[in-house]
Amino acid sequence: MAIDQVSPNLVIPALRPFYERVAPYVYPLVRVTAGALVIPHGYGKLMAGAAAVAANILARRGIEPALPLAYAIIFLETIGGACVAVGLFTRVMAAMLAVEFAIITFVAHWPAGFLWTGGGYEFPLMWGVVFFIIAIRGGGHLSVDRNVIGREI
Amino acid sequence: MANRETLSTDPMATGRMEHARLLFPGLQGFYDALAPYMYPLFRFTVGALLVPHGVIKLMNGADKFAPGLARLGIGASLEMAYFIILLEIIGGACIAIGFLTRVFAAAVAIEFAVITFAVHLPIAWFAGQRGGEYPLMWGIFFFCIALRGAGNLSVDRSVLKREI
Repeated sequence: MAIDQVSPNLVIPALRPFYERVAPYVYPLVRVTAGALVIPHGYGKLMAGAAAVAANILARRGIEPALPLAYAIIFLETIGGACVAVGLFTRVMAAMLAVEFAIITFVAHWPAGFLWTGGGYEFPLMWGVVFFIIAIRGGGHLSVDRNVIGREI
Repeated sequence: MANRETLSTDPMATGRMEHARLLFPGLQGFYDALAPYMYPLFRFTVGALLVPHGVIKLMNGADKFAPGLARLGIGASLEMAYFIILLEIIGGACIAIGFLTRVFAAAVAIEFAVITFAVHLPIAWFAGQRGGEYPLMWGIFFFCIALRGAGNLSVDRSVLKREI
């Protein structure tokens, strides 16, 4: 399939220049949103300390080894989120975050049901799917990988 | 290479993307094989997760949902309650399958702007406290779909062969 910037057949052709103007910024907006919004979660855990994260979030659910994983989670949700947002080492960070969010979805939130207002799984599920998509698609437009380093994994 | 870069504007919705040079060029085939399915997966996830919200509101009864709208200062709250329920069920399903994608995604993005800024952000930030981060993220994703349109594997693109 050819690179189809915008649907070839628009009901209102006059909108084509607008769609073509904004199209390059849609994927960066998804990447920045998914990456940046994870940082406050990591910052809170960083302030609480790895020992507290290990005890209150991981060991409580039987997820071991809790302390090393707590450090990994704090790293991913601060540095990792920032890297996804700016598109640095995008695929590596997004893939690790996708794995983390799979565990959050199916181990931590699944028992609470679907609705997010009751602590359900829908929110981490959506977020994890988006990290998976970013892991496959990579840095893309307006990323450090693409625009500064010029190569990616 | 400069010419290749000019083609690389939209990795989200296009079937292929031009990569930055890969550290492991052997992965190119893997990335290219999965790439066309990533935007449809995004559209399906963001749209389909909305359907249960509408169904649950409908099963609870629109008359239970309307008073909350009235408290936000929304007039004709029972009619609006039915409208929102229909938007979440039909709109979410249509976005998932890519039918009239931009229209529904734009409407839902507006709904989510209200949900985010009028309802949940005043409560808190984190979703665990019913805060605004989740509707904010979701609304941005609907906004992205409204801008980007149906894309691959959609009714608009594959069946109607046109979109707004």
